[in-house]
Amino acid sequence: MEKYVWIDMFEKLDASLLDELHIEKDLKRHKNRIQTLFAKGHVKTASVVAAISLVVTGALIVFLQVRKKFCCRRPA
Amino acid sequence: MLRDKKIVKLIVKKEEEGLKALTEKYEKLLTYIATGILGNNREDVEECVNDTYLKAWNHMQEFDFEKASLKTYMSVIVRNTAINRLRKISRTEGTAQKDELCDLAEDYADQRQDVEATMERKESMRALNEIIANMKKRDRELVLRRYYYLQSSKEIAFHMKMSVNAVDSKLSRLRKQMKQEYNVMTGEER
Repeated sequence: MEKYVWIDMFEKLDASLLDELHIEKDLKRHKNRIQTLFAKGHVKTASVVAAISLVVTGALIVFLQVRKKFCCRRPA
Repeated sequence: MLRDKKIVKLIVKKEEEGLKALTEKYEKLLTYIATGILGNNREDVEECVNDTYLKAWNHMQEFDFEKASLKTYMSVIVRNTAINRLRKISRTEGTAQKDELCDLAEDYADQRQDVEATMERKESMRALNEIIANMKKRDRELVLRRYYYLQSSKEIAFHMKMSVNAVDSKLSRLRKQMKQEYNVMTGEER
């Protein structure tokens, strides 16, 4: 619980100190960042890469299953 | 969107329109602050934000525009509600860790255990407020983001356009500086 002692110290902080922080601007920055990622095509690229990876992984799994079933049977 | 004064008036009169307006205006900010403290557990964050509205609904008559803006008032409530919830979660899940505890906090802990030291505690609060108020604006932002809103170094680095390492080392220096100033102000020789 000692971790919270440090946090507790700030509990009664003067509100005027918090007033000037404008933490609400963080939301705008996050929004801008997301918009930039979309605008620069990073999201599109990431989606394409993820889709290709998914297809390749699926194909690999199917290939390994088929190989296991038909090619690598041990004699009884 | 309704103005803050109108929202406060409506809530004091216990009219639901006020609560609706408050939700529309501050939901995103409150969720953001609660998420920073509680992490991405949606259920905890939602409950925390709802508790914040309930507290605001019940205590809005105590709110004073001269002391702070409604945004700050709501931020303070959600911050404290989230930290109480975090404590509860840590207690039940046993995840409390002894990290980030500095000497300054140890002083505070000693005083806290002593009931007769309430006055001294008030004095230390005054000292802390003064130390933070006298900091450079950017240093103050760093300290408040980390220790008031419990933002991660990564999050702070993004918003303040710094590297994560720079944030950590700056915070470490600031803690030492605060400790020194605190000792001078409270007249303790350690």
